[in-house]
Amino acid sequence: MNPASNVGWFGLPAGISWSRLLQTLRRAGYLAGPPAISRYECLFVETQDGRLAKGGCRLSVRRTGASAAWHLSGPDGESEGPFQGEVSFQSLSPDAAGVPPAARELAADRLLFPLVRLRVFAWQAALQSPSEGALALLAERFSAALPQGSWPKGVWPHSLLTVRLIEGNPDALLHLTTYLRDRLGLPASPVDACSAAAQALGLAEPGAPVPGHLRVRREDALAMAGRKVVGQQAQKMRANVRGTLEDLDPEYLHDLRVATRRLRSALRLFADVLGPKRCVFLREELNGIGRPLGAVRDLDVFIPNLQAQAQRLGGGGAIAGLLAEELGRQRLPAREALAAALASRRFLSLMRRLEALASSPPPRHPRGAQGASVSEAAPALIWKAQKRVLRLGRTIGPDSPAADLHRLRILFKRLRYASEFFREAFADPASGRDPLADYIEAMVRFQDCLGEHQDAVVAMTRIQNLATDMVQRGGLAPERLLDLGGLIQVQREIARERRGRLAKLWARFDRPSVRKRLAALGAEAPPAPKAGESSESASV
Amino acid sequence: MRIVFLSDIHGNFPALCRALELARRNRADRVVCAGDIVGHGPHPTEVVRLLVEQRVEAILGNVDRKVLGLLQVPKKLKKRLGKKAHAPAAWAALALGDAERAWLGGLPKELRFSAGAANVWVVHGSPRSDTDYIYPSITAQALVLKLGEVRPHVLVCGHSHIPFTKRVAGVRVVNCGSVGRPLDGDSRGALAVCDFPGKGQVNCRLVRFVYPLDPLIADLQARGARGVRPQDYRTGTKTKDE
Repeated sequence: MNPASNVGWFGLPAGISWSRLLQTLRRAGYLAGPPAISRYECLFVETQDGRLAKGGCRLSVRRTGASAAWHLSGPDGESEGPFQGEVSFQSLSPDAAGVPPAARELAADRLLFPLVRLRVFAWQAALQSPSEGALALLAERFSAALPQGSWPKGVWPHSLLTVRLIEGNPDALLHLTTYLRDRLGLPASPVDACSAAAQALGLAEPGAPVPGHLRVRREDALAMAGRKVVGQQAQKMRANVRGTLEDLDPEYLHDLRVATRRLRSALRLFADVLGPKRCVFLREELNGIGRPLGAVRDLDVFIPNLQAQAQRLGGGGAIAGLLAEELGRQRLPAREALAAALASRRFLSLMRRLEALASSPPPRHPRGAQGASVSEAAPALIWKAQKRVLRLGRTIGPDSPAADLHRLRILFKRLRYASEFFREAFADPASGRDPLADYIEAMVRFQDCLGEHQDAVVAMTRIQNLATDMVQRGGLAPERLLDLGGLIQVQREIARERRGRLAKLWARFDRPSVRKRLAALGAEAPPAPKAGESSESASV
Repeated sequence: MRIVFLSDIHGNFPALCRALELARRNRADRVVCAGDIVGHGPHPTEVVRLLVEQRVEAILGNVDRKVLGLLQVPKKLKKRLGKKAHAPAAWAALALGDAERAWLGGLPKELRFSAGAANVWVVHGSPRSDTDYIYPSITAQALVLKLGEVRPHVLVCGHSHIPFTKRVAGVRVVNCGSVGRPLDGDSRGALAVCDFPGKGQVNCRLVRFVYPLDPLIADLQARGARGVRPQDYRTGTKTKDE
């Protein structure tokens, strides 16, 4: 049972019938109401990042016979709303009619997607504990399928018992779950029906936390930690492939791209302990998939940006609208190329190789850094990446070329990823201590600013090239090029403004307190700035 | 006739479940508990409910008596939770519901009955007191002193958490050990299965059984029960306070 919630889940072995369950509980002093038996199909929906589940809610469309209704179960109980339209939808706005307000609030501006479909045979009864706590008991036998998939053969291959405290002393739920676990020998299930179905279908749940076996611990050998990091990112890639292929939400593509980047970074960082040749090969393969991903993602970012500018500039922004339309046309072939790349044998083989690497045992007789533990080796690795950032960052000034800033951004990303790979190992959830939190936050701020600067610089060039190309093809009258000035000026202003912010952000990152905290992880103490060089007011 | 004797459950629900399962498998006609049902364990309520559900005959142990004593002054229960000597009983007293308290309050201090023409006397510690001990090393002279005028065929006790069965001074002494908190270095729970074929005869055997420790320890930590440490369950010993 999840101690933080008012719900507990148990597996329901075939030998334990509903009547035996109630009989045992009645003997122990529980009063059971009349059982309600129902049969329905439900389609669970979730946002791309699993916001509903993170908020403790499950939203589904429940169809009983010809009628369908939204059904929300959450920490405050269950609620329903009328459902309109076809059940087999592609994606849905949380503002659709009937979506319970709690789910709408949790989803915020994110779209809802079908996750998994269940065909359920359910028994339900109200239960009163001897201490007069009100509880609900729900036994479900169900079969699961993908939203567009067909139902599996065999009836009700899965089963789950849910106990929920409706009202009364929380101890009533503790006693009931203890009774079910020890008296009836029911195995506690860590997940609800939706997660159980997703697991059975081999689906990665959106926003699911990193599984325990892939969490990097302080005592792990570096060779093991490297495998775990590769496993984590490979899992994230797999979780986002389907959404990217079906173009459900641009965030799927973004997350897939970020996972490939992190993987490349991990393969670079752990190359010595994972095998340099293998890492070089995998990085090249990841580069191969990174290119089509980048092409589509750039358009996904650039098109709304241009559309927003077109709106902001009013009549003068007509050119931005035209460019956005042209880019929209370019997105289709880019997406097709991406879909082909994701469906290719090469990509499947890459995923297999990554997963094989993640699940391979670390060397029995580790040599050199392979045997060093995370607590010994990680600070040095982070410090090494930081040294590169500091070396370049301290030479950057207000007039530095954009290419240098871009290079700094890449180095920052490597440093950030390296820190994030080991973040959990050095954090202490019990005390809430996270020694790398401030460090990563300072890095993220600086890196975001660099990213926006880089985007503006790329946008300027891209707008010019695109417009020239359109004029040459006759898609744009040459006199309209004059309107481009406004658009480019907007990007130039963005770039200038971001450059102005960099000095302040750098000072937040390159300061003794941050370095001291990093040194406290056990790394070699970073050198103090040379005389005349004040890191608090860096020269960026 | 077959009777299963158990003792010193000490609020250990998984162990009691396993013990009753064993009693059922051994086709016991009766199950008798020789006291110390609650205290020093995380599941006092569940244990009482299960004993009621399974109609187990039980007597009071010294810890049960202490719990009932503390319940006489409910206002001081929370204060007593902070005192080391009273904390285990106070925690159990606070955890028990009204129905469980009432059942516990109605238990006798000892049981005397006949089984297969044998007189059986069930006490928690010894016939003298529920805080007195009967160890395997007991001599005939010492037992006679503890028994006083009464001479049962079988004397069943617990309290020491060390199981043994021995014939002393013509009396079959059965200490059924502890179901939920063994202290003899064996982490398995213990109970006694006694057959009464008739003519005052008795055949007893001690049974040890394993039960799942992980959920028990998880509950112990989650519920914050007092008077026992997780390693005590794993080692079958009592950790001395530092």
